[in-house]
Parts: sequence; structure tokens; C-alpha cells
Amino acid sequence: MSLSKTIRDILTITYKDLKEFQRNRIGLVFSIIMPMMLIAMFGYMFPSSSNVVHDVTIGIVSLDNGIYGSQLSNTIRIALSNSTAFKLINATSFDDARSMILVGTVKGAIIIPANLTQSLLSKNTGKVTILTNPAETSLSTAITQGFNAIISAASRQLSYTMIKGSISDANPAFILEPIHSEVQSIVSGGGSYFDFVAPGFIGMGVMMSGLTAVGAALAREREVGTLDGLLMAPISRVAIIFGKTLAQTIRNLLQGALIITLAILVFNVHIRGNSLLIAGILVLGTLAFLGLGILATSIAKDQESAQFILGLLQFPMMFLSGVLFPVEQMPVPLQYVSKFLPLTYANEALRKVMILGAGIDAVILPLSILTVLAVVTVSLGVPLFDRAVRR
Amino acid sequence: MPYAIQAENLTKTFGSFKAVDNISFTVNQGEIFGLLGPNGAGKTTTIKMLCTLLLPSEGKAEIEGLNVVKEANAVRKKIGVVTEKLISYDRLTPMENLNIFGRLYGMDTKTIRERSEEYLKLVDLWDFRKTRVGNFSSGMRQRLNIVRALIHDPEIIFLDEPTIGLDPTTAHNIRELVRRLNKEHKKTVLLTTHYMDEADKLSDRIGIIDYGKIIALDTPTNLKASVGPEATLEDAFIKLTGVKIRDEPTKNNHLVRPRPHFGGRF
Repeated sequence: MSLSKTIRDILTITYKDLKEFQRNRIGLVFSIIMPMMLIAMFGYMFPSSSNVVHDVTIGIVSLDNGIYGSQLSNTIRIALSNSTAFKLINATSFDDARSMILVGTVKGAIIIPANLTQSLLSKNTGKVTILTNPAETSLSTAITQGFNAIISAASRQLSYTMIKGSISDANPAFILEPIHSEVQSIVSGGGSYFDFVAPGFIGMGVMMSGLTAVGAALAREREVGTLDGLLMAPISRVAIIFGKTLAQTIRNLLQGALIITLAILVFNVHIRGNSLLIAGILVLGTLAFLGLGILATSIAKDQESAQFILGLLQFPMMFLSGVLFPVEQMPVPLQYVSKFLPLTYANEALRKVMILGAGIDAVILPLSILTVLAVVTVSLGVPLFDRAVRR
Repeated sequence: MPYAIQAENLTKTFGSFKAVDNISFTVNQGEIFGLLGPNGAGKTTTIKMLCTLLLPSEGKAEIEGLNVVKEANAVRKKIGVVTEKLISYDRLTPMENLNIFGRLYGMDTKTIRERSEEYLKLVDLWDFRKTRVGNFSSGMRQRLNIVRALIHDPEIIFLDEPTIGLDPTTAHNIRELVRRLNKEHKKTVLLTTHYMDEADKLSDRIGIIDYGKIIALDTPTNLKASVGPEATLEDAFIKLTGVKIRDEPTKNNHLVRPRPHFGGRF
């Protein structure tokens, strides 16, 4: 089989697949709607502003009527009235606050103890209790963070006043915080969760469609009988696989471009990298996952086994390859597992290029790993595919 | 001149099930050869091995002297296959379907267009050349399926139950087309069918296959004569294969015949 004939056959099959896809109105609409839904869902679920909760009702129990108890109570009320995150409800006691959390009237509470003023006046530290609901961990974390910030500010203000009153020539800011830090990003703008998650979603889309698309397309053609037509034609098996691969790659590129465009326009995501390099990573990722998918489905004894193998590949990659949160936040053993998952490298390359605007030199390692994977899996997958369809 | 088709001790096993059991037969150039047998007898498996869709477990097969395993692509150029399942893409028109398959057979655009027009007119589908195949009736699809198998002008045509489920008029037209292809275009035809009358009228010779083995091979006249002077081909078939009703092997009975597969719907 000459190379030129094989290339022509690849293009013929690609054209056929894309033509069918173009005429599949439902498939076409879904391929546009799905990325939009993903973007809308995650864009609104993880907004970029610091207010991660809105209008959460919380209780306050102020048991101390002394000077510092009243001052802290007022500070909390003022801080919360300036925030859209919390609404405040008075509670009378610890048990009252606890009951209100249980019935759902409030999501958390802050308890100012009766001895706060007395403790502070006798130069002992005071303690305020933040009451949370362990059944709602994310919300509890947000409430705790919000309260801690307020109490911290109130505490600092108190220290400032005390230092100023005790030492006339003192610089309270120096005494309280002689060294402070400043955060500076290596790129300007961005830094929202969606900036982080957008490349992960593109990578995940490439992984999922890559692993299953060619297998699914071939299974569909087998089901309706058209695969026999391709297999009986005097063409290389490579042409069938690569024709379908090319069609899927073009679809992935178009879908990736759509996600990026919507992310930029609707969620103000910052994309900095070279678009050709991004396209290159998508193509390489598609090839690597297609090869893996062909290999997995070719060695499977039947359709159910193929689905099982693909599930075993897909699910760890969805959660352990840094799609939704950084790999470094995972426990150490899982970080080792992630090193064996190809999506980790696709995500790493996409993030470096899309978020940081890195050039090819910064992503040589992940691209090399994806290239080796693509070459090995496709080389092994094509003859295995031939055996699988003719055994 | 080599035989158009030659099978020697051809065997196909799926696990412990022997679908085709050591069969040998030849088909001469320009002959119409009928392959008859009850459900699950091994007809389709035999055709699939001959047209390179399945690898034989044992034995060998040749198409015009070309080995179906070692010279599969050369064999594919010489054969046109009408399978049980209709091979056409529903979202494409007949012209687009024929264009795709014609290109895969290395044909140029002009030849594809000319031959598509000739054959689509022959099967009365020319007026529907721009209609999507998804809108076709089963008869129209089967006619297109035959045109698809003929587009590259193959020397040998495999017809696996080409008239199954079709109305009498369409079936008659298809039989006439097969006859014309054989007489006028000198095509060799290997035909499987459940319709005894069809096999009787069309075939020069008939092989009867049962439980994977060829149990009789002769002209329709001799097969009938072996039963009695007034016997029909059906009488001969029943005498040879018995009256026990057979079912196509399914995944749920003991005659499990694992189909070759690739991947799954995910």
C-alpha cells in the first residue's frame, strides 16, 4: 500500500466522518452546548471574587457586656453589615445557637464568652468560639475563614490601641508585624479558579473523547454494518484508524477553540500562550489517548471488558491528574499515581502555555512523554486492531 | 487459469465452537455458485473468510490464485461483497456513499460518477441520488448496497442473502440484475440464500452446508434428481439437512458464536 494512497484514504475517511457529523444536528448542537454548560457551571460555581458565599445567615451570641465584649460584638456587626457574604441573627446562648444550626435557621455561629473583657483586662488572652456545622464542610470552611479574618482585624486593632496607650513613642505596626509579605504573580491578571480549571477541562475533554471516540465510532460502524465496508476495501488499517483519528482531532480542536473563546468572552479567563502551541498539545494529547483507547479496546475480550478497562483509565485521570485541583494538593501516594497518568502531562503543558504563556522549551518534558505514549500505543494498537476485527 | 474461488480444508473455530469444519470447494470463472444451508450452518462465516473479513483458523482460501490472508488487499480489489447488513451511511446521499467507497478502491472522480450513474439507473435509484439514505426503504437500501459492491467493477461478487426481507418485485429485479451481471458482464457470483427457488433458478452449481461441513455439491438438476424425478430443490435440501428447525446462534444459547468485535459503545 503506497503512502500516497494511504494518505488519500485517511482523508477520505476523515471527510466522511466530518460530513456525517456535520449532518448530525443533535450531535452538533450537543458539541456546542456541552462546553457552554461546563463553562457556565464551573464559572459560576467557582467565581473569581473573594466572596465565596453569599447571604449566609449566621448567629451571634454575645455573653460579655464588658468593654471588650461590646467592642468585639460591634466590630463584627459593622464588618458583616459591609459584606454581602453574611446576615446576622442574635442568639441567646451556646445551646440556642446549636439548635438554630441544627434546624437550619443559621449555618454557623460566633460565641463571645462572658469572661472576655475580664480576661483581657487582666492581661490574659481571650477566646472567641466559632460554631460550625460539620455536615456542610465547605460552607463551614468559608464561615471560619470569614470570621477569622474579622476577629484577626479586631484583635489587631485592640493590640494597636493597647501598644499606643502603653508606649508613647512606639510604632505599633512595627511591633505587631515587623516583616510582612506581598504576593506578586509572574503574570499580570488572572489567578481565578476558572483560569486554573479551563485548561484542565480542555485536557479532560481531549482525554475522554480520545480514549472512547475511535472505539465508539468503530463499534457504531460495526453495529450498523458499515465497518465491514471499510474492512473489505483495499485500504490499510492505519487509514481507518488515522482517518477517524484525524476527524476526531479536528472536532477536538474546534471544541477546544469554542471553550477557550467562551471562557475569554464570558468569564474573562486569561489565555496567554501561543495558539499554535496549544493546538499542538491538543493534537498530541488526542493521539496519545486515541492510541491508549485503541490498545485497551483491542486487547479486551469483549465490549464489556473494553468498557471496564476504559473506565479504569478514565476515572483516575479525571480526579488524579489535576483537572479540578492541583496535583500538589493531593496526598503524596496519589501524587506518585498521578505521575503515571498521561492526562497529568497534558494538563501540565496546557496550564503552562495557557496560564503562564510559556513557550515550547518550558513544556518539552510533558510533550516528550505524550509523544512517546502516542507513538508506542498507536504502533501497538494498529496491528492489534487488525487482529481484533478479524479474529 | 486459476479458479475464481478455491477453499481448501477451510476451518473456523470460535473458542470451542467449530463454525466451519474443514470444507473444500472450488468456483469456476463466470459461474454462479449457490451456498445453501440452515441457519447457523456456516455460510456467512465461510463468505467472511473468503472476503478477508475473518482469518481462517485452519486451511487456506484463494481468490483468483491470491491467498486471502497473505494477499488480502489484492483480493479485496477483485471482490465485491453484498453482506447481510447494509453497508451505507445514512446521513449521506447515494452519490456521496458511492464516492466514498469508490475513492477507497482507488477510483478517479470521473469513473465514480459515470459508474454511479450507470448502476443507479440500473437499480432505479438515479432519481434519489441526492436523497439521504436514511430516508430510503429497505428495498432501496439493498439496491444501493448492491451498487456499492459493484462500484469498483469487481470480477467476483459475493451475495449473502441479497433478497432477504424484500418484496417479490424488488427481489425479482435483484435476481435479474445478478443474472445480467453474470451473463453480460461475466461476473463470477457466490450466492447464499434461504430461497430454494432463487438458488435453483440462478445457480450453475450448489453446495449445501450443514454444521460447518459441505454435505452435497452438484448442479441443481442433479441434486433434485438424487431425491426423485419430480423432486424440488427444497425436497433435496430437506432430505440432506433434515426437518429440525435451526436457530441462528445467539449469545444466549449453547451455539454461542462469538462475533469478532472491536471496542464498545461507551
